Amino acid sequence: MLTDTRKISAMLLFVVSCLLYFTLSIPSNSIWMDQLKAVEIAKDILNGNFPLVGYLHSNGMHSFPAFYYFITPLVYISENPLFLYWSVAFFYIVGILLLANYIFKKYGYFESIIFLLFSATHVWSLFFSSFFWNPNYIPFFMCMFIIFLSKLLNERKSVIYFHLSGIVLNIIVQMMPQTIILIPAFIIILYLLKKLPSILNQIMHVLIQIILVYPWLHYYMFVFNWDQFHSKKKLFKSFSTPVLEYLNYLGGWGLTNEYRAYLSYGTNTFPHASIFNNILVVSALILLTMIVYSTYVALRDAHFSNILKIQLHTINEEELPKFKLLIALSIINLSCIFIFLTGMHVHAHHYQFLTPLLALNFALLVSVEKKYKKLLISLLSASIFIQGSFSYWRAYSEYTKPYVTDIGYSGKFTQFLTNNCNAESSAYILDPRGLHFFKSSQGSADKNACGKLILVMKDHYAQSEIVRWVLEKNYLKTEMVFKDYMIWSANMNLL
Amino acid sequence: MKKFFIIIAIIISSLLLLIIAYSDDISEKLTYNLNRNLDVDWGADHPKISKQNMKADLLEMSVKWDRLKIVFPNSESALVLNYIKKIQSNKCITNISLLLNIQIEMNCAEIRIDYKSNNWVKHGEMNISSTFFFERRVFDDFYDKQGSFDVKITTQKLYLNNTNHGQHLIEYTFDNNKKILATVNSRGISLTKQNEGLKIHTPEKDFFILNRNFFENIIKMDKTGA
Repeated sequence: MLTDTRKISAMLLFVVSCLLYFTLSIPSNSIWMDQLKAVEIAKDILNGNFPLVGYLHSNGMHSFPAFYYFITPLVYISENPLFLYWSVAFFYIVGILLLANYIFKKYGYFESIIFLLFSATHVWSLFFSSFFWNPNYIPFFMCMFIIFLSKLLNERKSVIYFHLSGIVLNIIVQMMPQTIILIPAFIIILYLLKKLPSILNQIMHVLIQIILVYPWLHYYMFVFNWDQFHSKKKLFKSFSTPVLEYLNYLGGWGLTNEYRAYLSYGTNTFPHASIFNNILVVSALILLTMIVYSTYVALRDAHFSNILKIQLHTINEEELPKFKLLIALSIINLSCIFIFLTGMHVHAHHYQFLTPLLALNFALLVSVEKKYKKLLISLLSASIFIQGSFSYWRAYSEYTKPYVTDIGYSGKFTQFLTNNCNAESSAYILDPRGLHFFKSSQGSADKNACGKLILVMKDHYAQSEIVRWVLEKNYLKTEMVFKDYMIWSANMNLL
Repeated sequence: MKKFFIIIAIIISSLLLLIIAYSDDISEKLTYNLNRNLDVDWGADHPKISKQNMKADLLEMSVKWDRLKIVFPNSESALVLNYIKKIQSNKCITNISLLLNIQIEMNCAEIRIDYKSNNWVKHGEMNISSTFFFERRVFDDFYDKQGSFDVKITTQKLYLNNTNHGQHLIEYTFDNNKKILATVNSRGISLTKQNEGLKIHTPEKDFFILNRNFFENIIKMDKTGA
């Protein structure tokens, strides 16, 4: 009863902290073509048109369709961006809770706490879970995969978990094709730990896999006109990029930039960008050291009589399931080496399959390693503290300084403009990238003739001499303010 | 293990001997390829290159030429690349050293650069170009190609729009993917890529070339009075 209360309390604390993060950050998230296109495809499915593929990736190939079928029931409930963004957060929380509950039952309270703490603070994991995008449901499916894999490794009648793990892997790969490296890793784990099922089950599973990707295969075999195919991007980027992006995923420093590829925007850290950057690099190095050590610990008690035959010299039976899972997680993590060696074009979001894996890896490491337990816990605590501090500072900062284009503030600003300016007024956004038209007012004729309003974030004004030059040359500051924006105008009557 | 290293050493030595033995043939092939690649016509929007007596030497790790002329397309576009009309270098030898950073040392008898006039708008200590705009890809392409190079150019005569400015030593290297550090006769200059455009810092003045958005929405609007 007492342990149940402790478990429930820990889980509740996790939920509360995540809710705090998502409540602050989700309304200040951006929306771009991929999100709108996803909703369009889901609506097509609801209308009875079943697509064989999804939208085009940047390399010129169509995405797999699983994501769109997965979100269709959600779009049926509501196509409001806030609802869809919250659905990602919901699945993240549920996935982590299910795995935490499993860890609690199978491995213990302490391991479960470490897992929850890491999951509630990791910079990229929390950020991606507040955003509606194909790969961002992966952490939920990865949690399911780890539960099935653990059952597969440790239970006798495990063939059903073999099939379930494979199906979940298929969904993960469909959501992010770069995760295809998980398939050979899965096969190696089963082979080394002698958990490959019978040939009949293997054949059956290959058929299941083909059925699951058949729509996409059918499209490219029978529908697609290959003569018109033009690859738009090289698969090879460089050898350093995948390693740096892996480290970036561990530490989260990519989120300290305001403008970055595949983010639309990151975080406005002005004027503390370099401080945040440096402390997150420290956190990445701590986590990298721990991963390397964890891989050593996992394989330390494994004896390879040849490259394909492994024997575990574990001291007691109680520890065996932990070691087996630690080996499996290490093999999955090591499979990233394939990405490093091929110099594949990857960014932080491609590593999302590591989200629950890293948390569980560290939880198991501090559990099985007795000699340096205190040191490992101290290092992990330091990293969790750094990650958590930045994550929750970021969420608060996003809440106080959102962009007017954000999903939770665009409507509010439209209302603000309508309440203050007549229909002949329009609002522009000025930032370090330039001047962009935003919205025209729908206000009635009795409202102010605001003319051309220029919205500038206070931080952009402070950091950019060009922004200041444009404003001071052409406009005058008005008394109007919206969140962290100053509003400038060419209309003297407004001053 | 010892055998393994011996085999590797033998293979590497044999390769080196082969390269030395056939260095003249390889140099000839390199010269042919270099000339052929420079002769390619990439179309009206791309610079035209003409050269005289260009030769590569493998053992010296050098490229020599009597004349290399790059004529930039006479485009009406305000893209900063169109600022330069022509670059011509005469009697040059370029040596390449493969250290941690690739070092390129170019010695020329004469370099001639012709460029268009540029109008500047003054803002405090800053001069903002009202003639040209900057695109990030120009800087990024340059970084992709020369990001790990240390370049040193020496010329006895530097002609800028047909005026001889005498002997010059120009050195440049990338500080990071956003900044080039250069010295021209020991005067420090930096070129920094920003969201707003390109900032050029010199000991006397700062210059700024705006990005296309600022250029079109602010400079052009000012010119048209919109």
